[in-house]
Amino acid sequence: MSRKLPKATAETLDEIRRQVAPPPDPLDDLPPLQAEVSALPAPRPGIVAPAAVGITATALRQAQAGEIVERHAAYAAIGGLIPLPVFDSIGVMATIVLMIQRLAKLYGEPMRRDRAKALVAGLAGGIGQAGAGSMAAVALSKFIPGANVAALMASSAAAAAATRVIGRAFVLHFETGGTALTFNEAAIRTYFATRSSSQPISRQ
Amino acid sequence: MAPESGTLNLTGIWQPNQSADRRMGTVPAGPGLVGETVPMGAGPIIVVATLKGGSGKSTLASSLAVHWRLAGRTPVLIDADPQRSLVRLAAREEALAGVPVFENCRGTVVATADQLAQIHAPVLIDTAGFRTAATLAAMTVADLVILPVKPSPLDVDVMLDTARALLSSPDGRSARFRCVLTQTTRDSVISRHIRAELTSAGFPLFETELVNRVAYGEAALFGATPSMIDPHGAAAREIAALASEIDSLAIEVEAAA
Repeated sequence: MSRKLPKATAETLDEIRRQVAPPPDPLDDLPPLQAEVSALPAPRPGIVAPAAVGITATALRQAQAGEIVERHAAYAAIGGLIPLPVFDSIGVMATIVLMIQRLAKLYGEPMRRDRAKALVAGLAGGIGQAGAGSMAAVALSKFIPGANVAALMASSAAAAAATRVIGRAFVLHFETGGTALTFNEAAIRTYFATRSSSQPISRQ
Repeated sequence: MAPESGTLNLTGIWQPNQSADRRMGTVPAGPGLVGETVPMGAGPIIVVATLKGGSGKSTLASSLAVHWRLAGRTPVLIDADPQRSLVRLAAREEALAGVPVFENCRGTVVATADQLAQIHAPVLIDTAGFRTAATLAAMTVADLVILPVKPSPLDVDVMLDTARALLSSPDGRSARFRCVLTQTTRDSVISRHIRAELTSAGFPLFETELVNRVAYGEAALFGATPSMIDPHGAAAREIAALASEIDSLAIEVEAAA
């Protein structure tokens, strides 16, 4: 038989291989991650470096710290609404202690609760007679009918502001290389006295 | 359904009832298996597969196993075809020269093959002529998959499907395969054409082809293969040539490794 026979195979082996090959991973087209990561500042020990997400490790860490501070400032504002003078202070102090512990953990400097309490007590002791008098006046006004609503609002705002300032002071402390054991209460009190809570955290 | 002549143990592995002197191959005695233990070392697993029936899978598997058995090796057959062609063949008079035949047409054929490979060499798995879990599973553990192809466009089309299933396996081992032309008409144009087509399309193909001969059918009547009833005949020579190609392929693989 001399006539030419038609093709018997509809596909070649290579075509089948291409058909069954898994789809290409879109991540393969991205530039090497290692170079981008290596360009980031070295994170502090215990802190996970952000993968290439377009921001630096420092910026991410500061953003996380700021979020912790603002969240606990909100908690403290709620604590300040407690109409009982002693209990509101306890609630706000507990919130601040918790905030400090979480900030310390973020910066890889785990802090025991008693140490955080001592730091907060030290800071509270430095507010001076004028500060103590103001706080006492606000606390007592909660018992005065008519003035108690204003006192609750003032107490809430003061608690939020104090928490925010203390939190930012601790962020500054850790960002400048401080540790849980090198906390300078005098310096923080100075910072506390000279900065208002409206000032933003310094961004690098 | 239990076979007419044999035992089906709890793991679904069937051991044909043969006399000890006829069952010249070794039979494992591991968990779920019955018989004597004669450790022989790990052997390759060869799967004969195509998703089309009637292409000569059982004939090819049994012929190769018997050839190697007569050559002094310790092959074993696993019948993963629900039609149980090998089991039925082994139940006949000559019982495939004593080559042990185990039946497992489920996905657990992989475990059976691995277990048998510890004491048999090689392990040949005959698969069903359609897509089954056992066939797909067997291909994943195969050291070599042989795809019998009759010189017809229908067989070639199904061979492509089989190759696709084979290459789709996540296990890279299944990528090692060779086609073999079976039931060909000697010196026919269609056989040469199909060979040329497969070769040009990149499909690996054994040089040897199994010509359609009456010797296969006659031997099967006795539960035998051409290598047993006519060792010097043309069919036996083709089987020997194909077995030699497979052996040389294995040597090449080992050398490459």
